[in-house]
Amino acid sequence: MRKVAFLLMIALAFWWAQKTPTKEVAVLQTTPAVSAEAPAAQPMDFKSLESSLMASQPVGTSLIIRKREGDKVEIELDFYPESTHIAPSFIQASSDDDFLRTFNNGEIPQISNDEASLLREFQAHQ
Amino acid sequence: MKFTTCLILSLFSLHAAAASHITHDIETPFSAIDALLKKQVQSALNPIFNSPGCEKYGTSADARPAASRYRCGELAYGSVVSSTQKQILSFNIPAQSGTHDGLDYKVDGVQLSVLLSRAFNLNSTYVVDSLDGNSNKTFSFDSNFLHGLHTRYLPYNDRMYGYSCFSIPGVSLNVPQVKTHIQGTKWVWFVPISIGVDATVNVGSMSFDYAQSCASLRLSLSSALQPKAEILQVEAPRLIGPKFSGMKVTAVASDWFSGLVIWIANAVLGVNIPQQIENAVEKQIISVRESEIKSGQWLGTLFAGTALEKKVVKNAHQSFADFLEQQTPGNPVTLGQDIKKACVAMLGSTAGALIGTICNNLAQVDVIPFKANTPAATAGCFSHQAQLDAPSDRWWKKGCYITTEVIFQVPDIYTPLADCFSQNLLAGPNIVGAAGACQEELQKLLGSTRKNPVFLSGIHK
Repeated sequence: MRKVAFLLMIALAFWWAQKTPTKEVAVLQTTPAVSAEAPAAQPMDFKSLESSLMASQPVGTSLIIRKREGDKVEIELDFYPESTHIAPSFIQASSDDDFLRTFNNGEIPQISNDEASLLREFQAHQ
Repeated sequence: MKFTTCLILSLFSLHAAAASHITHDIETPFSAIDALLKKQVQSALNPIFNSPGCEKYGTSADARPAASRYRCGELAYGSVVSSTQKQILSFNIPAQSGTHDGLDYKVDGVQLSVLLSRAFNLNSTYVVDSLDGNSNKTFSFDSNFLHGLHTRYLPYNDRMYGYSCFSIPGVSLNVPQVKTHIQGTKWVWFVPISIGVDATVNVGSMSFDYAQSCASLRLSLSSALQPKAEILQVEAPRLIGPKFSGMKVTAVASDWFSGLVIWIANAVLGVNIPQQIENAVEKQIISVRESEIKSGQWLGTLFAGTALEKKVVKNAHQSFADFLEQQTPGNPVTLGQDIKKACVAMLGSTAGALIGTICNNLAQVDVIPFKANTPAATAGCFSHQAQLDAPSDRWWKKGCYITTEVIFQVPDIYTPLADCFSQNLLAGPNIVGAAGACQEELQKLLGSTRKNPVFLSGIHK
């Protein structure tokens, strides 16, 4: 009985290997997902796919799964989703001190106490 | 200035018997400062905001390479790729393959380009504590980049401080989306099952309303009485009002297997793309964090670091410092030369052969720069900022001025002429003498010297 079952499995595997194309099966947004010769694709279990992907979703990302026409779904991984979006009021490439050093051969000029308060006053007016 | 004072006192003690000291204030109006500063900033920034050759843009006479055919007023940065965009950075994300949870995957490499808009966003506004109304004023951008420079001057304790802010209108940057191909293979019963999926990679975009950087400068006289301008404090350029969109990868799955392939590829790209961007940007000597890359903010950091810091803002502030150093009337030698020229122009036709000796004596001066000036201070001249190249009807253009005290050290016999001469010196961008003035005083001096020629040589040979 075991031998029969084993032979049956080998035969099945051989048949399936012949039926399964090894070439690429393109799944484009505009083309059918699987060629006619391919084995019947596993039916799209939307819930199962969603829960499986959600479970392994990287921290800080947003996974959006949208149903498309037919069995297709669009999967979008947003690496900076709105929910984590904290917009700064400005963007700055380097620190003020680093930038100042580029003017003064790597040094920051000496400023007296009087001058320090003067500079603060300048900035307060800006 | 202590040195200057000592010098005056020592000269006074040496020649007390023969010399007079006539003190005169030279007032340099802000309009004159504006005219000179405009010239300086223009020459520093014209190549950056493209003007050399720009008038030929779009004509057959334009011999520049196509990639550097910038329009007039356009930021001369990046390679022109179309009428609306320039490329400022390009890099590859190499192909990546591996195995994840029994699935072999391969993600094709892509080429990414960072594109910069060629036009500035002139719709935004910025606020400056302006001399126009001695209060905060909202300014609109126009195509003249000079109008974005505002400066406050403050003479204080024998020094002058300057605070300049440079604003430039915003631009937008984007990385056009690219498609990549993802291949997944799973082995079932020794048989490979492959599936290929196309994914769209969107790396991000950003824009900002305007950029601004401010700097404080100190102008003083060195012990050799040479003007010295130092930048005391400078703010790295800030991109105000940034708007950005972050990184996304999108693909369409038609079954559970392709869904899994896409998911793995997404995760791979999510690590791979930021790494490659980080490497590419590091070559520009700028560092960006992974979170900045994923948010799209890195595009702003890249632009601020490469275009604004290194080209525009540094040149704007540096040219302002250079201007102060070169144009300050604090140097007695330079001022003496200007006064001598004015003397020759004013008295030359009458004094004849003696003009050289007379003007040499009149041009022996000492200087106290940045003298406290109560009327100008009361009017608010030193409390608010003046816009570069502002219309001539602004009150502060003539109503505000920097005062330089000039001390003429002349032989007694020159006193009436020196008095008149100093009163008729006009300060503008260059010191000039009022034409035809002081003829009577000159004739008296010439009459006296005929009687006793030794007086003419005076105290200064």
